[in-house]
Amino acid sequence: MTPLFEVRGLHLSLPNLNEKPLFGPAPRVHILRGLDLDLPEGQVTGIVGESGSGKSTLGRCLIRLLEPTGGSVTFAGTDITHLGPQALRPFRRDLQMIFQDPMSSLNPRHRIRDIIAGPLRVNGVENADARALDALDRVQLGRRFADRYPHQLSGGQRQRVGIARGIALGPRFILADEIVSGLDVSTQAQIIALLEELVADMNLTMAFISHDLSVIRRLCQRVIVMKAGEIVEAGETAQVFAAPQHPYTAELKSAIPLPEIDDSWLHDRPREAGDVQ
Amino acid sequence: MTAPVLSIEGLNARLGRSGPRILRDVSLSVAAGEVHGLVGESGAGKSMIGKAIAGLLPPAVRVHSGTIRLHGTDLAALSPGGRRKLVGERVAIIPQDPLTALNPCRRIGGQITDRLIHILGWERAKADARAAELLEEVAIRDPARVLRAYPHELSGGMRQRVLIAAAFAAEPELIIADECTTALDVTVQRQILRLIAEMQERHGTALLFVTHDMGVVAKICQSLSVLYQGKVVAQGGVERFFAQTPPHPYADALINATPRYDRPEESLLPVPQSVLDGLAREIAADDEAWEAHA
Repeated sequence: MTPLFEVRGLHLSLPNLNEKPLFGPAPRVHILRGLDLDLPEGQVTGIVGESGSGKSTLGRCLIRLLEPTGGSVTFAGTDITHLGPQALRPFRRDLQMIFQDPMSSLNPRHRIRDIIAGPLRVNGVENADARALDALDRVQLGRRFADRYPHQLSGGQRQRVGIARGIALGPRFILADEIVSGLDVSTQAQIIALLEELVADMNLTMAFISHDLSVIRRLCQRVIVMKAGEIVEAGETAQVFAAPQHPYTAELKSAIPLPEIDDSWLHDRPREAGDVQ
Repeated sequence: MTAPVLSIEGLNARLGRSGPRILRDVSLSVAAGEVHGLVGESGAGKSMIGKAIAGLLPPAVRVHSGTIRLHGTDLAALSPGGRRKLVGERVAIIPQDPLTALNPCRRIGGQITDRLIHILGWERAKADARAAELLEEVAIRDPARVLRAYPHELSGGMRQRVLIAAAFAAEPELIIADECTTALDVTVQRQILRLIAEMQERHGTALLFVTHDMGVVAKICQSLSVLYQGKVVAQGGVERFFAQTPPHPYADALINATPRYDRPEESLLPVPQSVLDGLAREIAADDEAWEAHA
């Protein structure tokens, strides 16, 4: 089966304006340094790494909110690396995104029904309103929320609205960027359960960006570990967890505080490279 | 036995005169050298307790009854000035967001020495030397440079270290850490928690650790209060909470909601409806008793 996304030698650099000489071009900062990856259709792939590792930038290159400076991104057989805004339009409805902070990504002056129907109307879908209500049902929020405003909802409910907007167009791919990081543990658990259901029901392909390996272990079939703009490890989640190949993956794993008492977690120095359990 | 550093008894607070109750008869105490966890979901009132101690409650929140004692001194019995002085000298806070807690227009050095100079009346030179010493203690490599830097020049982890240094600067007896690692990456979180624990042990400080992460609680706390809608539903040593049968089903549910990579299918479980129903009954009974009493 061909993967939904094929990424080869993906490179992104930006001019470093802090270091720009008075004359002449600014030196480049390399954010992504030649990434190769495939995202198989119908699977959830986790992208993990610390802040600044380039995981969000990779996500934004996939859905072409950013244009890579090198390499190629192929979506469902079409090379979309350098398509212009017009050429990208037909792909937009297939490539959707859910954001980290639902408060700042939902327009505070729009009702929930309009927030969800917005992308439907822009794409000229008929019965946008009815389909927005369907999307509300799918995220188990209930239609009574349709006429409320974002500030009247709790954090978990707002994130459900963000998800409803993401799935309303029936996309093939969803980029979820740290979407449970700002939530309480119990709300986080509900949102993860919802995502699992949606992925199964709608045959979604998803890239799930997170700094929390525990969440990724639960939700994702595959995982990509990033550090400093490079992929240090990639593979089946279960396998990566059972036997991390890269010391950085092992470090990420051991840094997670499991809810059980263990004095050594706090007092031991991190394990040496390669010394995994 | 010596008196605990912090002891709160029967603290009740509500929004305005007749608004919703925010704290329901909260009692807890923290001894010197102890780390006490304060756990709950957002809106449970855990930050309110920290604010009540520091005297930083929003104006709309009214304390109805209860006492807060620092080393036996009832804070309510002091004049506002006397209270500020006592709390300023003995209590420090490590806030959640290191970027908003630091003044972006001022250099780091001055922000650490503020408390030493203005509250404790130290000489500037002595305070500056102490600030440099503290930055070294929190494992900042180039203290001289960091003292002169502005907050935006430092990474999130560095800023959090600076705030820890500032908190320990005047040897407080009590530190309130309010979700101070929530915004950090796991690897940085581990470093910071380790640092807080080391500093706390070395200085014998009492630490009130506000968090929603039962994983973090298991690693750093010795005792724990679980809050739900302003009520302490369970309290005790951490061992009891992480034993086979935790003291309260809600505590158990919070532990089961915490993601864990070693048992992916048995973690990240939403709080069961039966537990929520039980909590709702507890809160209703509490309200009834309160109304009857009033």
